[in-house]
This record gives sequence, structure tokens and C-alpha cells, in this order.
Amino acid sequence: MTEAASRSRSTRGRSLWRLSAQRLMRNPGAVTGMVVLGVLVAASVLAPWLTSFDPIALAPRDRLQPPGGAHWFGTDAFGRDIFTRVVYGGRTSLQIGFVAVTISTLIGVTLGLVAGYFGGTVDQIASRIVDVMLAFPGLLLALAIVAILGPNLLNAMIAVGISASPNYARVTRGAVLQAKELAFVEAAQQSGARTWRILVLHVLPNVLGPIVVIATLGVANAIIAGAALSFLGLGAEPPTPEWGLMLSDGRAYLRHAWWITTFPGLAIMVTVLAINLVGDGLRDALDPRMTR
Amino acid sequence: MNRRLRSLAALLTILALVPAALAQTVTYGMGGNFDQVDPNLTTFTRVGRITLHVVEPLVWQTSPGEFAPGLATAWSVNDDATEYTFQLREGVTFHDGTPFNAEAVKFTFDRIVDPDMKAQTALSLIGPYEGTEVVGEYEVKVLFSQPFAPFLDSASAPNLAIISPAAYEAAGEDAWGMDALVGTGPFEFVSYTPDSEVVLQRNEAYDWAPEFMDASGPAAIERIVYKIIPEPSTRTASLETAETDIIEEVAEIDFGFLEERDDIRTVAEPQSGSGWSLMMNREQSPTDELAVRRAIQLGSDREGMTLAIWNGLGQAACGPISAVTFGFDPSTCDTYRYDPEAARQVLEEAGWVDEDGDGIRERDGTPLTIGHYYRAESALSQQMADYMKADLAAIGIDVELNGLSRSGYFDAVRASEHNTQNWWDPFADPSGMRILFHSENAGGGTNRNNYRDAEMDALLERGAATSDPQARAEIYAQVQQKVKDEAVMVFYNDPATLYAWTPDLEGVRFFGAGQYAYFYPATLD
Amino acid sequence: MFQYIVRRIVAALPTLVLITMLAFSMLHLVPGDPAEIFLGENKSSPELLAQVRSDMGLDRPLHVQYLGFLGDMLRGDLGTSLNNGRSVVREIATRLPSTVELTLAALGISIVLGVGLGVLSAVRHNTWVDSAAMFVALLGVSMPVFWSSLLLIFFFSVKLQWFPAIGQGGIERLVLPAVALGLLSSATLARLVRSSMLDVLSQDYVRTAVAKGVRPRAVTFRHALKNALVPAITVIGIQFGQLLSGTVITETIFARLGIGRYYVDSLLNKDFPVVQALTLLIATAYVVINLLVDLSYSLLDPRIRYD
Repeated sequence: MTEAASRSRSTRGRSLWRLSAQRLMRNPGAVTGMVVLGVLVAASVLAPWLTSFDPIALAPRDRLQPPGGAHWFGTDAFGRDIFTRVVYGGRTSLQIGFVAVTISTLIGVTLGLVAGYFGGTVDQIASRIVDVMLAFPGLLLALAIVAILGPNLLNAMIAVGISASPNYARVTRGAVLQAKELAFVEAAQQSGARTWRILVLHVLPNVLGPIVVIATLGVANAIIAGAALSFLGLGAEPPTPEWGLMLSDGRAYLRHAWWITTFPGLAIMVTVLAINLVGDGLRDALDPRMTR
Repeated sequence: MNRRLRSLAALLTILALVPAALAQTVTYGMGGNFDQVDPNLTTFTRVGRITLHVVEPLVWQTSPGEFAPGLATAWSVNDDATEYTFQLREGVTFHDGTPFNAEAVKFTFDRIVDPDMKAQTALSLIGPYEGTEVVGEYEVKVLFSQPFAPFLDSASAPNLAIISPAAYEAAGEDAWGMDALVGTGPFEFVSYTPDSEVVLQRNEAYDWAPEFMDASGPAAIERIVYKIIPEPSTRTASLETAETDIIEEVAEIDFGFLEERDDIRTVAEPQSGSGWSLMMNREQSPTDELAVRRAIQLGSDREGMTLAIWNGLGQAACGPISAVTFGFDPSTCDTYRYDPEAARQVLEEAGWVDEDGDGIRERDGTPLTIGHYYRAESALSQQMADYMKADLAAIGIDVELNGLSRSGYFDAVRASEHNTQNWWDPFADPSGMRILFHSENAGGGTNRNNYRDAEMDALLERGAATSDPQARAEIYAQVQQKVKDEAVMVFYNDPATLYAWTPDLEGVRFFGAGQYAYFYPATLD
Repeated sequence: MFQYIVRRIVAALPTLVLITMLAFSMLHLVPGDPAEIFLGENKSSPELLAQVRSDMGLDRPLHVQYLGFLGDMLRGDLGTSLNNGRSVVREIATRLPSTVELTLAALGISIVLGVGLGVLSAVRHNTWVDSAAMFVALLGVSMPVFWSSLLLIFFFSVKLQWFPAIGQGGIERLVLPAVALGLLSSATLARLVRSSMLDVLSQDYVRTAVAKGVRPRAVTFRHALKNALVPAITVIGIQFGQLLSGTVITETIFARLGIGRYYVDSLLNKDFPVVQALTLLIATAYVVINLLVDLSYSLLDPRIRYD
């Protein structure tokens, strides 16, 4: 890497982030995504004010009402208002995404940092661990973890987080290896700065870019993985309004009461699409090679 | 060009013949998996559905309490129901050519009680079995250490159907039920592919159909293929795409629509035995308290549940046995009906009051919380748990749901960690209630109520020992009333067994209150 | 080349051993007793449980059980299923072909879709075609597989009667499940192909070729694609894991025999021999696929060599 390039990386000042932010804003897909996500977050926060029904209370005589009238999205088999449950479900989905991604990041980035920076045996061991985890297909690993911890929403989030972490480790390690080559890092090492300072102040920021991208996409993957676990009965427990659980519970009614699956399903789709658009936009914006 | 045309013609001819060959194959869509195709050792009713075509019982139960000759042509019971003598049908051969005789009956029954075999359902059905005496080549005497009135009912179940000793010895225990099963039935076992299918083939030598069947000689159907289709909507779809001819365990929501169609036949056979219910553990607080159990009993909206979960099919349960079971006491329908107000009253009087206004009652600082355990992978269990939680929240009880994977579930409930769990048991004879209420089954067994009551034990034992149907019915009426008075369990729904099939398939008979779909007398166009 | 392969295999062996150890320990951590699961809801006594447990070999100390498994495995004996007593090898052999054909078909669909959409996107970069193609690619990722599977069955099986809904064997039974699975993984591939093609297209030698008068079409497909495929191939290794996860669901819904379903059921039943054997199988497949992927790099990019 040239001197100029390494300097521009180390001048971690406003310029790089501002440039990326500008690029992001010029990407119509990413902007749409962010708007949609903004609406989602707002709706989740304002849920009690936006909805008039109890998301959990039963009303069996009102069951299977099609959309219309008081029930904008209709009611499910237990008579619960679907619009209310979809809005509250947004909260749960955000929780799932956040918890899962936090865990993935904590585990993955730590492993990757340590492996990439220290190299040698440490790298060998850490990479081995990552390899072993990668050889277990994601859902199966998450499944095993949920089986051990017990099927409930929190454990499902933890399981999804753990099973997604190897990828974070790999990406981090790659970024760290790249960063190690940079002149300023060598300079810091030679000047005797303490390891953790180097890691946190110099190496970590370079890793941040790729991690932000996969973390963003990770939220989407967590929501989908949560839905898969719900299908197997090992995800969110009833009566939690969670989109994946609503979709799974409602699948027997796919043909006869289409609204029970369609609305939570669309909620998942729209959210995941928005997240992906934002994630892709972030990737494009943070990529130094893109000059457009 | 010419060559191509010829091969095309050949292909078309073959294809034209294929439907004709397949026309006599009944494809049955099965609701789930099972362990092995061994009628005597299995715990799955599904397996009985299949094996009833390969093995035959001594007697057939044509309607509750009515028995017709099967492999036994005549029978007599001694006065105290400790000895059953059967005259066996002559001229019957097993699929391996060996003759059916008294030795085979003795062999089958002795094997069931052999502890190495770990037979479960059959073991409990065979009761206080002591041994079988081979009186003559075609006469056996089955002996019991105590009076056992329900034996004919047991003998009519596929779990006690007769297998070929020679074939069993030849195949060995490992292969039996997996690759080999030999009986006297109108169909022979061909293969079992776990998770996938069981294939049966017509027995061309079958000549001993019971008289009441109204059919004789080999079956009209050539092959039966039981395909395992776990996903309910796919099962329904398979019937609509004609990939199956008949399906079981139709999803309740699909059933209504299939019923309305002219091109599909349906049946909803009310089940006998105990329906979907809630067991309440006496060994855990607070379900050890009558007031709490009574409140749960009064606070469970059975009608609402039947509507919401079972789509209105079956009917709201009245007591421990369903309405079609022999000995059902209709008065149980009028006692302890859904009354949330009364439920709240009961709790108030017992000192459970909501002091802090959070919707949950407390007493001396302890909140009224019960731990409900259920199998997380079962959609039905999830729904019952969901509904129950909401029902009880309305009367101030907090339900902690513990959805566990199969492995964790058995761990917990056998160790009596639960306050409540669900149960379902489609037995035919009311003596089956001992599974639920007899003290011998408490403490890790099937009586997860851990209900130990000397009076109940005595009633159940007398019921099994009494031969006179009227007297038996009276005893069992007392059992049912006692169960409700003491709020031992809560009963949600008496289900209906749901089948749907193509009109091309005719003559299917249902035995065991709909549990067994029988294809011997059936024809397929 | 040969030495390289051998070295890779040898290096992978400790990983495989570690994986089986991980699977073994994890399975032991799952709550529940296989003996109790086997006996199910029915009446049991402590003696019966003890007997079943000893029949299953579960009363031996853990390390003995694990070493026993390793030893047997080296002799080619993968044990018998705790659930039904059949040989594990036989059980896996019955189910493996169906999963393999499903995974390959899904991979094929995902490659066709992914590469197709990715190339289309890159060539028409920054136009509505770009956005539309990416949108379609993303659809697969944004729908839970069980939902898309059920919708496919409803529309193409029940309504249109074009394809059967259940079972395995034959291409017609493969289409719907493979599409459901293939849609899932095509997004990642599409994205990757798109970005690596954009990279290549912007590189100097491509611009030179265009400036020299080589037709844009020829440039795209001959030069750019080949090099752009290198990072795309990497993804295929990862896709394999994702596809296998997906088979768990599609096999259940389409009532197909398969390893995915078998894995989940055995895990929940704590059927140790089966889970061990399957973990080993899947991990080995993963190692082999990654090896093949790495080897294929040298085919695609003459600059990459192994010695």
C-alpha cells in the first residue's frame, strides 16, 4: 500500500467517514432502506399508541376474521388482532437482531482480532475453533445450542448469535491482517506502545468497516434464522408476538386465512430487504476502491 | 425418425400400462414417524394402523363392547374372569407358510410379557397375564392372576395380534419389525424405510376373512403404501394432487373445506378413551391444593378451545373419558362447567388475592405461579399452552411456560418438576383410566398427576375385575365423578379422528373408534 | 498438486476429530436421557430405564463411550441407532442420495440465478435493471424457507398441478424443493458476482480491451466473467452449509427422505451414534468441498498455482 493511502487510512478524521456517509446518501436503495427501517423502529417504539388491541388476549369468537373494519389485518385463530401483533412483533424482531448480532460481534471480533494480530500458535488455535464451527451448518449448530439451553426466545437469539460468529471472526481476521501491514501500526509497535492500545486505537477502526456491514446484514439473517427455529418449535415461545412464530403458527391457514401468514411474512420481507439495501449501501460506501 | 417413433410408441405403451398397475395401490398419507413396525412392542397407534393388515387379532371389536370372531372362532370366560378359553380357526397359515395354531398364540403373548422385550402398550393391555395353556392344537386357555374383565377388548387390539414364531426365530429380534413381520393378515409386509414409507403387498393365500367383513378371499387391493408426510398442509396437498388416495390426521382447518368438496370423502370419527387434557401434579405446589386445581378446572374455556384449536371439531370434553367410550357418564357434562367468576371466587376464598394489582394473585407474599411443561416441537402442544396461559391469566394465575425439546421434556416430567402437562390416550376400554389415576403409575410413570388415592385404586381394580357390563358402568361412573369432584385433571377436548380420501376408494372400514383404517374390504377404481 | 492435496487432507484430520468431540460433548449437554426418550410417555420403572440405558451403552463413562465410537469408526462401524437399532451406515445410506440430489439441484439453481442476476446487474450498473435484478436476488433471502416452500406447493402443486408435492426420485419431485432452496442462496452469489464483475470491468486491462475495439459483449463474457468467478467459487463452499441448513426444513415440508431431517430428529432424540456419524459426514464433506473449491481456483486463474 502506498504512503498516501496509508496516511489517508490513518488520518481517521472526519474526511473518511464523511466521504462514506455522503456516498451512502447518494445511494437510492440505501436511503429507501433507511427510511423503511426508521419507520419500523418508530412503530416499535410507539406500538402501544398505534394499536388498540391486546396482542396476547384471546377472543375465540372473533377468530379468523378477514382484514377490514376494526381489524386492519384481520384476526388469527385465537381471535387476536394481527395488526397489533405485527407492530409488537417489530419490537421482538429488533431485539432478536440486536442481541444476536451483539453476541456474534463479541465472540467473532474478539477471536478474529486475537487470531489476526498475534498470529502464530494463537492464530492456529483460533482459526481451528472457527473452522470447527464453520463445519457445522448454521441452523444445525443453532439448533444444538437451543436444545442445550432450552427453547425460548432469549436462547434462540443467543444460539443464532453464536452460530453466526465464525464469519465475523474470519472477516475480522482478514481485516486485521491487512491492517497489520500498515506503516503506522508498525511504527506504533516499534515505539513500544502497549498491545491493547494498538489493537483498540489503530487496528480496530480498520476492522470496523467490514464488521459494520456484516453486522447490519446479520440483523436480517438473525430474523430469518429465528423464523426457522420457530418452525421447528424451538424459537420464540407462545404467545410472544414474533413474526417468525406468527408465520409458522399460521402456516396451516395459508390457504384458508391468507392474512394470518401474509402480513407477518411481508413484515419480515420488507424489513430484511430494507436491511440488505442499507447493508449493501454501507459496503459500497465504505469500499475505498469504489470511485463512483 | 422411424426408430424414434418406435421407441416413443413403446414408451407410451409402457406408460399406459403403469397407471393400470398402480391403480390397485392405495397410497396412505401418514401424519408422522414411528419407531418400528412391530405390533406387539410399539407404543404408536399409527403402527397399529399399518400392522392390523399384516397380523390379525383373536377377536374383532365391531362396536364398543361387541366382539366378533377373528382368529378365534369361539370363546368362553370363567366366572371370575381369570380364564379365557379360545377355539382357534383352522386352516389358517402365516405368510411364511407355517400353520397358525395354539403355539403361535402362546408364543405371541409370552413374548409380550418378556421383560427383555420392553413392550409398553401391549404389556399394559395384557393386564395380569399369567400364562397361556395350549389345550389342543386349536384351543388355548389364557390365564390371569387376577380377574381381568377387559381382556377381549385387549385381544381385539393390533398390539395383541398373533405373529409367526417360526418367522420371528428366523428373522431375529433386530430384524423383526424392521425388515420382517409375518402374520396371517390379508397383506404381507414388504419393506419399511424409516421416515419415508411402509409397503404392504396382497396375501394371495388369504382365505379366512371373518364373517362380519362381508368379503372373502384375497383383498381387492394389491398394494398399500404408507407414506410419511409430517407437514399437515402438505398432507392435504398430496390428496389434492392425487399423490395419496387417503390421508389421516387431516389438519382441522383443512377438514372443513375438504368436507364441502364433492370430489373428496371425509369422516370425523369420535375417539374413545381420554381426549386432550391437563394433568395436575399433586407433588408440586400450588397444584397440590384443591382450590387451585378447582380454579383451573372452572377457569378453562373448553368450548373456546375446541373452537380455536380444533376448529370446532370433536367436542368439548366432559370428563376423563369421551362420550363414545363404554361406561361414559353423561352427568359429568353438567358438573364444574366453565365459570371464570366462580374460579376467581374459589381462589379468593382460599386466600389468593391480588394485592399489588399486577393481575396475579398472591398469598403470604408468594405469587400464584404454575409451571406448565410441554413439547416445544408439537404445534398442538404450543397452542394448548398458549390458550391455557391466557385463560388462567384472566383468573389471576400466572402460567410459566416451559416448552422443551423432546429430550428435556421427558427428563423434567418424569422427575415431577411440572405443575401441569398435557395428556391424550385413545384407549378403547374404560379400564384404561388406570393409566391416568392408579397409584401404581404415579412417581415417574404415566400418572403424572401423582395422584395416589386408595379409594380410586380400589374402584379401578374392581372395574377391571367385574364382568357384568352394567356393574362395570356403574363403577366407572363413580370413577369419573370422583375425578371431577377432586379436580384431578382438567379435560379439554374429545377429539375426532379425521380422515379424507378420494371417492375412487370405497369400502374402507374403521375400527377402534376410528383409530384403525382397514383396507381389506376396500376397492380402488 | 498431489502433495498439496495430501497435505490439506492431513491438516484437516485434527479438525475432524475436534468436530466429533464437539458434537459428542454438545449432545451430552442437551438435557434428557435417550433411554427415557426411547420409552416415551409409557410406563417405565427404574429397572427398565437402567436396562435400556445399558443396552444403549450409556452406562459407560463418557470418555469410554467417545473412544469406543472413534475406534469403531476407524474400523468402518458407525454403530447402531439408539432409536430403532438399525445400522447407522444403512440409515444414512438410505437418506443420503435424496439430500445430495436436492443440494446439487439447489446449488445449480442458485448458481444460474446468482450468476445470471449478478452479471445482469453489473453490466447494467446503476440503472433500474441493476436495482430490479438485485431486488429479485434479495427476495430469496428475505423469505423464510418454510414459507416459500409452502407457497410453492400451494401454487405449483395444488393449483396448477404442475409438480408433485411430496417425495423423492425423479426430476419432477426435485423442482419445487430445489427452487425453494436455490432462491435462498442465490442472493449472496448474485451480490458477489455483481461486485467482483464491477471490479474487473473497471480494471485497466478491460478498459484497454474496449479502447482497442474489442466488442463490449465479448469483453464481458470472456475476460471479466472468468476472473470474477474466483471469489464467487469461494462462496459456494459457504453456500453448502447454508443449503444443508435449508434441507432440514424443505425435507420436512416436501416429505423427502434426507439427512437434514434425520439430523434434527436424532439431535432431539439424543441418538448419539447417528449424530456423531452425521457430524463427521457433514464435516468431511465440508473439508472436501473447500478443497475442491481451492483447487478450482488454479483452473480459473492461471496465476494461482499449488505445489
